Amino acid sequence: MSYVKQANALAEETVKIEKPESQLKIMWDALKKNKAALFGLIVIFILVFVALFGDLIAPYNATETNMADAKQGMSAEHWFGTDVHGRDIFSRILSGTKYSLLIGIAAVAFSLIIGTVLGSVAGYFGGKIDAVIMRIMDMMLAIPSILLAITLMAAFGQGLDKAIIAIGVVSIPEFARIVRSSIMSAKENDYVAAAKVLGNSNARIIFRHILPNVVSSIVVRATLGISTAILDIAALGFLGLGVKPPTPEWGTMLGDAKSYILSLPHMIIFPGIVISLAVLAFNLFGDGLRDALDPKSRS
Amino acid sequence: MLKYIVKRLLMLIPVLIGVSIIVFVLLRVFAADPASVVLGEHADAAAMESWRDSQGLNDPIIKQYWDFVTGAVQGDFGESYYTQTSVFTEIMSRFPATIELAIAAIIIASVLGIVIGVITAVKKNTIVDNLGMFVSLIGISVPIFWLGVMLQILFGKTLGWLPIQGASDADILFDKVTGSYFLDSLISGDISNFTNVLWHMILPAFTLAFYTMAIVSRMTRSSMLDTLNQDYIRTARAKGLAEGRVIRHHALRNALMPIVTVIGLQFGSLLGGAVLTETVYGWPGMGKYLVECVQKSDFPVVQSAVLLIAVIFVVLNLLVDLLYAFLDPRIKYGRKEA
Repeated sequence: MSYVKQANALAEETVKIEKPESQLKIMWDALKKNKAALFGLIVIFILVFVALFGDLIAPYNATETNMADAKQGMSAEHWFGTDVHGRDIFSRILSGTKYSLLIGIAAVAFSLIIGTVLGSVAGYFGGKIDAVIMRIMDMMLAIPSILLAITLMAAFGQGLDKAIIAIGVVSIPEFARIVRSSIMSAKENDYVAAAKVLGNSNARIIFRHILPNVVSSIVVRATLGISTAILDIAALGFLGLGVKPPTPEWGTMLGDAKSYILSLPHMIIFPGIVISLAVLAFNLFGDGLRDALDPKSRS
Repeated sequence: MLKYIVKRLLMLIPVLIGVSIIVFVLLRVFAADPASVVLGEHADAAAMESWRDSQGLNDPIIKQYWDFVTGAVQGDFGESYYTQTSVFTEIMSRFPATIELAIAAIIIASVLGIVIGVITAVKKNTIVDNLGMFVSLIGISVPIFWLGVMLQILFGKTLGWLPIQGASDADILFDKVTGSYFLDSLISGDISNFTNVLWHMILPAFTLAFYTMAIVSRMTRSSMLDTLNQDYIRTARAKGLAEGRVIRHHALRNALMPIVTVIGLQFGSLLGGAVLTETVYGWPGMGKYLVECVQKSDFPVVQSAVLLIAVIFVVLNLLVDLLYAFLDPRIKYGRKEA
């Protein structure tokens, strides 16, 4: 055996290199102990399941009117009662899960992508580009978010895709700001300087070297952002500016029920409970994620 | 300090110009033609064309914007498509009703929020803490308009305790002096008018307050937990001060900074929430009017109302910043670091 091999074997034996625990594993371990966050996660799983298979589980057709069954209260046949057109509210809620969840997630994805690109460019290059982008963000932040969403819907008109854009646009500035500040602090690090010296392109440095390090704070914001987005769609639907009826989107269901608040309260009670539960779930899970990622709260 | 305030005020101008451009472009370029909404779908083409001409909608967009801005600077925000009345007058007559609702809500939210926050922080990890935080969690998770409807069903229909629509009963009449129902009913000198308005205000104000209350209580709790761990709290206790005094004078006083920030910032978003609350309760404010005008494409009203709310919003945020300097002597704006 050569000396070199011997030395290597010795080194391996003495310095048992421990694999660092993955970020994901650390997070999961912290999350597991948080009962509220787990509850949120379970509800989210249920929501996703219902979004995928809601139409199959639903006991009745969600959009077909049936005047013979109209305006019924809660019963064994219709758990949550029926609406003025005789549609089963329980079935409508199940079938509508996909719309509300889709709008929430798609809107956040929309603002996340645009906000990340804008924030990265502003934070990385600084100077004039930064000033221009951030001033535009300031302008958007000068309008209360629900009001901006209402104005956008007034301009675009009703529709699923338009609701996604309207709600997505509203939270672009928030993501842009988070990403910008993370990038600004990250770019001072030596590994960025090293990546530059090695001749990496700016885009590669941003997406391969900097963003992965700030991804955790973005994920937390995005999770909490979904709950805000669900609330915003509900508000638009309630005002009659969201998705067109008879689509059983939860907010639109509330809008339909607006005129029957006192005569048929079950029409508005149940969709509202489901919206609140969905928002609560994303809030709990988002809070749990934030705590799990925050080394200070890890003991 | 004065120099700093002036500088900050000047910085608001480009932001507001930007807001006006965003809103204007959205409503004039992207929105559907309002003529068919205003005149009805079956109006003939010539009538629609002449209506567009009369509203200046056929002018180039740049000229339309210029007309809007030059008018707005002089306090002329144009006329409503429907009533031909001055948009500025229409908005201003409803504005006080929105502000009084927002002020009532911010008072309720601050008082309840701080009380809940302090109690939950002091009783950390007890059932009281869990209960308080659960209520806050509900507060940030429930759609406020839905909460409003639930309160209407409970207190209006089931219990019959409180009125659920409008700012006063239909048969109650008093002069509109300030536009604020609270003040006008006081001015009228008839105490029954005042109690009637107050009675009508309870549910909408509480509904609007609920979300902010939740935010304030969460903020208060975490801020209090931070200060309660400080050495000077231990010192105060060691001196033998009563626990209540330690909490009120030593802990809360120092925890107040972030709480004031949150309250200030929330006041602006209350104006957004007022849109929904007013719609639910038929409260005769600017928010309800704005929604009605969005639904019938009354764009002069929409763009002016949004711009006005943006002005209030940014000025409020500036005030919160300045308030810092008074609350925290360590902050000195506009002075270079030594």
